[in-house]
Amino acid sequence: MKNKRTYKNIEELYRAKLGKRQYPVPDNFWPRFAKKLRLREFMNFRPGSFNIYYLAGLIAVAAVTVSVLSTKSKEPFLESPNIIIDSDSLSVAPRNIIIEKDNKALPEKIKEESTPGKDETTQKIIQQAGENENKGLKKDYTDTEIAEKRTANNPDRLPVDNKVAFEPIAAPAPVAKFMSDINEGCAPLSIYFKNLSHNFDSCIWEFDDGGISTEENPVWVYDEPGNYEVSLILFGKDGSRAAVRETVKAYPRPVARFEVSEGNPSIPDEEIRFYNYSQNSVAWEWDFGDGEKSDEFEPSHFYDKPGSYTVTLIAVSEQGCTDNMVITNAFGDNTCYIKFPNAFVPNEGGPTGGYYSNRSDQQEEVFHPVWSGVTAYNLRIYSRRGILVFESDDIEIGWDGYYKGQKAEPGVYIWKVRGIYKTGEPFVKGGDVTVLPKW
Amino acid sequence: MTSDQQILEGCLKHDKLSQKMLFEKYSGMLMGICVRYATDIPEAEDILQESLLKIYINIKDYSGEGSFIGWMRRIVINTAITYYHKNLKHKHYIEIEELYSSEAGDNSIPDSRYTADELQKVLDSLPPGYKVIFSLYAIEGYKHREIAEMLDIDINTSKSQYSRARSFLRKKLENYK
Repeated sequence: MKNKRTYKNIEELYRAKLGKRQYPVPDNFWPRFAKKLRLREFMNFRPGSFNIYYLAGLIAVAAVTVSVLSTKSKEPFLESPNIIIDSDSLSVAPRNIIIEKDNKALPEKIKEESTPGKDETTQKIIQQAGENENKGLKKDYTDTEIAEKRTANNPDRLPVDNKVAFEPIAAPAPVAKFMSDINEGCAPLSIYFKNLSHNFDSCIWEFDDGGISTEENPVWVYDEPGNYEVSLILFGKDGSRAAVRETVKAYPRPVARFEVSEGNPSIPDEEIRFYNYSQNSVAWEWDFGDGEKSDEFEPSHFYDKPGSYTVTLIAVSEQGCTDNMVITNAFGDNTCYIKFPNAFVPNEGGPTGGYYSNRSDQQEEVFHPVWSGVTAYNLRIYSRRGILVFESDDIEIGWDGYYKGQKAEPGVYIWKVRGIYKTGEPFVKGGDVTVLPKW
Repeated sequence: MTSDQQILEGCLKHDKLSQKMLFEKYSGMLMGICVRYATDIPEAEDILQESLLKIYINIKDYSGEGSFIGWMRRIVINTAITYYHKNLKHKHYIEIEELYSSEAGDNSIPDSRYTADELQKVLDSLPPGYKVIFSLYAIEGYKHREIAEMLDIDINTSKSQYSRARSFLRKKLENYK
């Protein structure tokens, strides 16, 4: 069968033949694709099905449960003859507090570990006990009574010895307590400590890096990364002491370092590579200075326009500490210019050929420009009568002040220069130059 | 045979069987679009995969207005263009000199002269930029203004590139047999 249909142009031909054309998809495409689709569906929130958001929720619930259980079962880390509980500590971690009474040793010890806000019974009892002490009442509660109350309310906790006897206290005992504005951060880490203790006369802070302070609310700067046990020691009015400790963490900072490849953004489509020498970092943010950013380790970049760009690298450590490095004008001095003097004195001795050094032309015997970044160049110099006395396509060769082997007449000459900067930008300039006679 | 409507409803519920059926029915057609924009078959498969993911995940966004096939085509073309943009920087294709052949006279082409495979082959021989613009304009029927917007180029660039692509294609086709 012969198909008589014709198409009047390529468009029609292509549209008819390819527009509805099917192309076979390989057999193994679907199984591979289905896996990706399941994953993508899993990552996408849909109320009706199990997905990553529900999973995250589950993990969060599990994590909270585990952390609650683990704080309940933690052991106290300090033991001391006489311990009284401070139950409303303020910081994140559970804390143990000791008060020592030097002159009045109690026969028995009570060990207690407190979790903020968790054990309300204990808290109440101790508060009551504290109030009674403050009022100067004696023996309102004996230790045995306290122990009994505790045991009654909390039978599974607090192994308290039955023989405990409560001794009256004359002066209120100091209660050590402090908080800090932050307890972890990037070194150098400045921390403000606030003393929240009661009933004390003076205090000493030990910062665990060799530093101490007797200020009530000190600010301390940790220069070196590390974990530090900050201790606050109180001296009560009655000579008793109390102490509390807390750990603060100063994380090391990363070091952001990079280099830029030899490329030149003046050249269109030139790939500029960035070499990353950062240390102790896990994430990076590049700012190429043209509004583009990247978070790759070693990105490459294409600049649309030539120019001097300021490239910034921010390196981020595992703990979120940052460091940055900035290279201003990363691609060297890209400023292009060309300038001419307005007078010169030709060499008396004859034509010099016009060679000059861009740096050390002390003699000023050659008329030439000072310039940077010029790729193409044409200089013409005319006399006032319009005669072309000099022409050069080589920027390295200027006018020596001679025309056809003869020294040009002193006077004003007109010059005109055309050319192209390495940025691709053309330039045309003109002006006059005075040929001065030798004095 | 299940109708499009049933497949669509199944896909909305992310039913695996319906998804498979949609794939069986349309993957050939969509792959046909992909090969027009990709430089090679593996790239066409990548585009197809990316497009299908978008289609299945975002199927709830299909408003029901306009044809479902049109909606899918549009997604595939957009994905292909994104792909083209992404790879543009890494492909150094050769500029061809301008070829202005005279187009006067009877240029009608008989249907039997080229097969679809041959046409595809000639189209594949175009530089990527020309291939994309030609496909968008001649086959998909987009206007130069729309193409300029999609590819983020000047409208006149689209026009001039198209005319170059066209004359290039003409010459190739004439020399083909």
